[in-house]
Amino acid sequence: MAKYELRNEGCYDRELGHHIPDDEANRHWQEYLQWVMEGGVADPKPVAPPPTPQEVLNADLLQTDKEMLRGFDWLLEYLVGNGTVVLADIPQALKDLYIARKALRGA
Amino acid sequence: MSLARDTADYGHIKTARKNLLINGDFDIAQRGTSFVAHTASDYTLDRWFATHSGTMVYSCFQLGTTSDIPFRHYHRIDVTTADVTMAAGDYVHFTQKIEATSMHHLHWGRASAKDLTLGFWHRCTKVGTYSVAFRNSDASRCYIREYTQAVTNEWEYAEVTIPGCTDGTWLEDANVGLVVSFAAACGSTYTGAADSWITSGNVIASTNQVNNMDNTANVFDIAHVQLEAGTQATDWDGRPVAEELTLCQRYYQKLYFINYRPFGVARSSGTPDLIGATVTLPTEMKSAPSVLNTSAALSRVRTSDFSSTTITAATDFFVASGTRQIMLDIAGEGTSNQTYTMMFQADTGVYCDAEF
Repeated sequence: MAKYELRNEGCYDRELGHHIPDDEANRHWQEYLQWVMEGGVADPKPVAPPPTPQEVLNADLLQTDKEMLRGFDWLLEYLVGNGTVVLADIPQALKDLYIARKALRGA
Repeated sequence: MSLARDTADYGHIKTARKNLLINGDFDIAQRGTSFVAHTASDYTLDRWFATHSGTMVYSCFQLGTTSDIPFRHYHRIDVTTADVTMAAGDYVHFTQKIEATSMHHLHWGRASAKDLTLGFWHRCTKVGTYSVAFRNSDASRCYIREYTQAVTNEWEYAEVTIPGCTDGTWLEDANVGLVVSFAAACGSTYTGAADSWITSGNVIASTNQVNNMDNTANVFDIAHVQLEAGTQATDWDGRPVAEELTLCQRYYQKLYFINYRPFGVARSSGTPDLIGATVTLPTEMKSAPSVLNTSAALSRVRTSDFSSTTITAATDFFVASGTRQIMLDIAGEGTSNQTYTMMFQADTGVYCDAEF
């Protein structure tokens, strides 16, 4: 393990715990450049681990939740409106939510 | 308005902001007040660093006094392992590097270069001749002045004047302008003649410099250091502590974060390593700083569902720094266009270092 590890901008000094910018006016960056000139080779930039399948799934669900809810609102409104669904048949919790959201919309 | 009127009305302004050195009274101690077994070249009190080459070991301290002398704090170098015989390349000096942008009015490197006068208090165990060195950024111009510690362990005042340097390379940007060094001991490699500009060799002390590192009972104390244009040391330029701290923060500053209090909002962009929350620095720094986090875990909480990502090791989060802000980031998790709040999971400090 090398003293330094590359980062997106600059490097990380493992011994001192410094995040060092690639700025020529920064003395720690100057020390890093000197270390490289003397033959030092920094470890490559760490790569973030790829998301797990579950994380990808959660992200996809999160992205679609809002659109799905809007669609559900529209569908329920449509079905109740044309008499396909009777409000009394809807489970209580869902009915409360439907009434509350309808009130919020001012309908 | 006549010149006489100008002088009458505004003459007092000339006496303000005259000290080219920052933290010359050693009141500001953002890094702490005790530096045991000091590591070579590390900064101690703000803007000052002690450095050495050789087998000697010493500690540095900010110490206070209530004696009837005109300062509250002073800087001490306390010998803990003596170096009785200095090798040719050995040295110990206590130094401040002045930014070149603060020296424009001195005209150094030109025929009109102004003289400088250094006034300071010293208290050394070993009596004899000591040196203070003035050097440019690449040490191609050096000037040594001597002063004397007459009575062991007694506070004494010294005042030295040097002529402005009319040639050589003196930088004018945000790099090192003038280096002022107090030698506590110096081997022959870095000694030279006093009282003239030396144009060859990096010189820290005169050949008469005593070795104050030769006994573990020895201390080397410096206080109330003021460097100003002209040939006379004038009254102390006492800047308010808030102003002095701000001057120090151009080179080093500590940011404080309270546990679980969000300090910023980050947005994921699909390029995981570039996600981050920006923290604006209270003072613009000389250059992009190195950033050190003590150890507290950094958390990123997704605002849409409060799921969180926590990183406990400082090695595992990312920092991008500029002179006006730093950006802290936890590596991405593959979700684009989400917002996150960033917070540390314990009270912590983040240190920004842009010193020379």
